[in-house]
Amino acid sequence: MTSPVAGTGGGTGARILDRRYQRYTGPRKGQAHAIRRLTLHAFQRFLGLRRPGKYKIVPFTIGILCYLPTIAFIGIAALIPVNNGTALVSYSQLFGIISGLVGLFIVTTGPGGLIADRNSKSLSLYLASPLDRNTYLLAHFAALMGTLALVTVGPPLLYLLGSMFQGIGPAGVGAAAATAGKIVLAGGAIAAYYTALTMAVASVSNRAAQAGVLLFLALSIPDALVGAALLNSDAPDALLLLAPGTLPDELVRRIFGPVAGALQAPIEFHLATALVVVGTAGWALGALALVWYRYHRLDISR
Amino acid sequence: MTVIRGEAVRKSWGPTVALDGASFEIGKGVTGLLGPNGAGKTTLIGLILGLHKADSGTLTVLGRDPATAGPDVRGLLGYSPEHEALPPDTKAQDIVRQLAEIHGLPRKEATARASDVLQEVGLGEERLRPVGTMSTGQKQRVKLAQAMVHGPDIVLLDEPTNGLDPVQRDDMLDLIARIGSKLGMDVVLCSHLLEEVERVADAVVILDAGRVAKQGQMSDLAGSESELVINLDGPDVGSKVITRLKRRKVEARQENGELVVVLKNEATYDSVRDALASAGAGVRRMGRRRLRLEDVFFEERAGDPSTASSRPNGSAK
Repeated sequence: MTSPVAGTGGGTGARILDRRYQRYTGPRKGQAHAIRRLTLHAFQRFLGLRRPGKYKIVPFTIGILCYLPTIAFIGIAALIPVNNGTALVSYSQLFGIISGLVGLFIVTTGPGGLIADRNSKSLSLYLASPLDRNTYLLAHFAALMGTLALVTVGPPLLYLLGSMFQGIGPAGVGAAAATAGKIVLAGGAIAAYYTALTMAVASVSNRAAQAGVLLFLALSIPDALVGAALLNSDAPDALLLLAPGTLPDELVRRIFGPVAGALQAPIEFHLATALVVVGTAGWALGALALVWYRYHRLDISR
Repeated sequence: MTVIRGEAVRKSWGPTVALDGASFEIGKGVTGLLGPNGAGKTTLIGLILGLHKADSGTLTVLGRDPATAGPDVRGLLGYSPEHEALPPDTKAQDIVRQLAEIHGLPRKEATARASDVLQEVGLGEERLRPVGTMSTGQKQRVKLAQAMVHGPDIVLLDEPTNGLDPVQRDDMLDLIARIGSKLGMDVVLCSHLLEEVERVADAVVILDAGRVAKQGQMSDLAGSESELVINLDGPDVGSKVITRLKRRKVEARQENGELVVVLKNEATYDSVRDALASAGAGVRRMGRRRLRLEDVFFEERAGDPSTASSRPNGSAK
């Protein structure tokens, strides 16, 4: 783009350069590159990066809050080694403890991206690129999942590292790697699940705040009803499948195994793990189907 | 060379027929896609981008069908939509860079080009401001910049002067002309403003009610006929001259107190000279006026009973 247009001659080697815009004629990368770049840009957008400071306050504040319980447990274990060489809480319990903050992070940070692109109509610019509706949604899914993974995978991984540093973590490299794998699996599954649900809510709402409230209600009301039914009657445990806010917690318990003690789950569900997996995947796929339907019906050229 | 070709393209939105068998060819240079609101221009742009699929007919862009090769075709197109389309909380430079990257440019190249192209459209330090704080004119420039940052083969501009004052409009049209001539990108300028197209376009496709009313090179369309405007000296001489011209089968009329003669060929000049002499009419001033695109447009519309009564918005006439 910067090309010499005239030489001044002499021995100085100085040249006058044309700084005006020139047409790009170099190699172009394809659709996979476009997906990766949009994923990165959307990820930055969710966290308020490359935007004015006020957009960073909520994601960073709640994101840091999500790490505080973990830091507290590591700190307590360092100061008061009361547990005879074992960690204060299990990973399953840690997921449960931070789930409220993770939920807050999701409802405040998640729905904004898709809605902003529709409201500002920049969606039409993205779809006038090598991206299409499917790849645009795929990029957004990856970006939001990555954002949510910061608070679903990050804190337990930090807890693992802290525990190992204090000698109360898994014994040996193999056990540590297995635990890390379970953390990534559980945290990744939760992030993917909530990403799907968040995108579904964002696809039917035109305001981020409204979508956040809708998401909160969608995750809490059915769970409250199911919880009440299971506690007060002989309703089958399969009702759990109708509780979108509780299913991921149950999935985490199945990944890390049952927990005894004061922090154990209020209800022990007698449900096959396969059914829990299928139920969770069903909600996520149903949500994604709604997103796909909404976006394929969207008129983006006018 | 044809860059976009449509044959009997038809597209409906429910009961509304947006394009009704449109056949056209768009070649190199700047082509005006002209028509009143609702003529089908935006739908056609959507089809060119591969955002919709035509109900019937064939459309090729750079030799490929955008409905099936959409991502590849769109990688070679730049698009500036009619509506506002920029995230208000993002810096102009950031959104232009992002879109350059998404169109396939490496990151370093995209960053440098975003800065250069924004300078090119007249945004210096303003490029570092969030788009939401910019004026309408500046936003239009950012939209143009993002459409050309990746050096596309074709730039599609949908009403790029919307909301601009006359000075900004002039600047924008100069920019568009430069894109088409100096930067080697072909431009499709979608507009309902005839004078804009007339000013910068090499060719024009006139859409009306979903059909192509007329198309061709500007010189062929607007320059094939011209008129002789004569300011006569003396009262009532105009009608006498018109009577004599009609006897010689020359078309003439009075318009704003002046005599307007349609110039068919060189012989018309002889007929005008003879008619003026025999009517004893003095001539204060005489000049040739080229037929404007606007006249071509209304000539077409007058022949269509369904549209004859309406004129496009923004027409100066």
